[in-house]
Amino acid sequence: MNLRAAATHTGLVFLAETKRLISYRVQFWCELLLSTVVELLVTVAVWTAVFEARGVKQIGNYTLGEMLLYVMLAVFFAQATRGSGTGTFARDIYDGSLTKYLVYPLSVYSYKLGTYLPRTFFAIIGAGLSLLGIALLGDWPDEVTLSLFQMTSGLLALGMATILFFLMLFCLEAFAFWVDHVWALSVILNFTTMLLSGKWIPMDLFPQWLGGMLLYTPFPYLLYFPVSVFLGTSTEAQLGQGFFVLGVWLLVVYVLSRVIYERGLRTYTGVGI
Amino acid sequence: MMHEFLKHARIYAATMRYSMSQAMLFRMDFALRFVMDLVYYAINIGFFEILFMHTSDLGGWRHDEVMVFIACSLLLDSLYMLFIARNIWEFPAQVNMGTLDGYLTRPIKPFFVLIGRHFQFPSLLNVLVGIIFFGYAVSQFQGEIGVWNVLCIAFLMLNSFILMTCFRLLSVLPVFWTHSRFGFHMLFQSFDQVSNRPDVIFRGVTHFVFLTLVPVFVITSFPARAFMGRLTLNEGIFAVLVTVVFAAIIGIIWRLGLRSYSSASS
Repeated sequence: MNLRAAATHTGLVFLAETKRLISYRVQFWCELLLSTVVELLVTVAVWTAVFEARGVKQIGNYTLGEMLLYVMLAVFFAQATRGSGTGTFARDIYDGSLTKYLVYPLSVYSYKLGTYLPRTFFAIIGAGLSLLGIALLGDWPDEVTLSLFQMTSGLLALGMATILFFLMLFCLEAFAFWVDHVWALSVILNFTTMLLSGKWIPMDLFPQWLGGMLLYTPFPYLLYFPVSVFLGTSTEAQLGQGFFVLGVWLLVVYVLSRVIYERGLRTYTGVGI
Repeated sequence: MMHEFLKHARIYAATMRYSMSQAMLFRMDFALRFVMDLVYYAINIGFFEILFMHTSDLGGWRHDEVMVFIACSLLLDSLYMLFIARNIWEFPAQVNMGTLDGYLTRPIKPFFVLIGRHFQFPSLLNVLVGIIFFGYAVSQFQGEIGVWNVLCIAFLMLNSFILMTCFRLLSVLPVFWTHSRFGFHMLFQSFDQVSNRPDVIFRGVTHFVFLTLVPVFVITSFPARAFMGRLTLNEGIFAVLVTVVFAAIIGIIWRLGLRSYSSASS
């Protein structure tokens, strides 16, 4: 399947999945809006309390305004990278419905990515509306300016991070070829990402030894990097290096996912469990 | 009454034995569930550890006090995972696919079906880890610890466990009418983040909402505050009242739900 056909396939699945997601209208909007509001309230309360306790205007490189903007974007970007429809690949393996991807000219990657992206789409819209709201209310921190370059490169980094996380989940769910229950692996990845990707605390506030170690993992590139690029806190050198490392991780995890998937297919019987 | 209680206790004991043999059968799953909860504990503790590198207190609470709070929160979570979680996760599917029929036709209390079908044996290890961490947090606590504090925390932990169960049931019982796949699971999961932070950092309307309408502060912060001697008698009475009200609401919704339940693939 060529890239164009894969993109078309992903697009069609994306539209169908979006319609399915919003078919339970009250539940969908209620959950999306309320859970976002709750997450924002928690992060704002934590950092306001920390700044109050310290009685300082700046912690690390962040004023309170910058910190609140960072954590707000981190909440939306985390929703974007986590996507929707997780767990369905493992279920396809268990119940034998993976066979349809093998029999018909369908790529499991393009199909699953299509089901993954609707939540990303809504999260990006949410982030945009929230930024607009802050600006209109006059609460925009003076220290932060957004340029078109920052926003486009931030969104590009977010797009790459979303696909990277999708592939990481794909790898874990592919273990369903050998193991009976794999959902715990995805949950472990989700938990780990909450802290180690900088969602709750920006990574430059981590202790140096931990921050340094994490640079060798994909976690900082899932959230901290896209948010930093978007807010323009990365230097040009960090920007180039970050995109390079993110690209390398994407390639590595993609190759790994293909190896696991193709090995798994050898054991796949198609009858389901 | 006593006969009914003993009958259900015997059924639950059988459920526990079944859970243990299932855990031994799926050893990988057993290990992963244990690790999953350990990671959850680690990231919550890690979060506060990193935060306290940048501040000496949080909403007026010292590091050792926050550790007691986290220990309460994690211990409650492990107990919830052990006794309740799986029952609630699987409930929407049972309503939507009609498999609830199989349980309702048995000669047992319908409510027992709702919360007593599963016992998560792997989480027993996490309860042990929770108890050990709680012991560690108490040993680090710099305030005075009296018998009264211990009695208060034990009582309020039990109260919180009941309230937490009621609160989580609220997330899935609407599937009788919405027929959605997970109920309001995602929304209630986001409330976990509130309950994992001390109530003292929240202000105004937010504090009021999470104390009354969505009483997550009562669940985790109140037992910790009771232990630290920072909970008034009125607040203690309020915690019990909230639990009674939520239990009554759950009872009503459960009965209404069963009335509107139209069996297979409803």
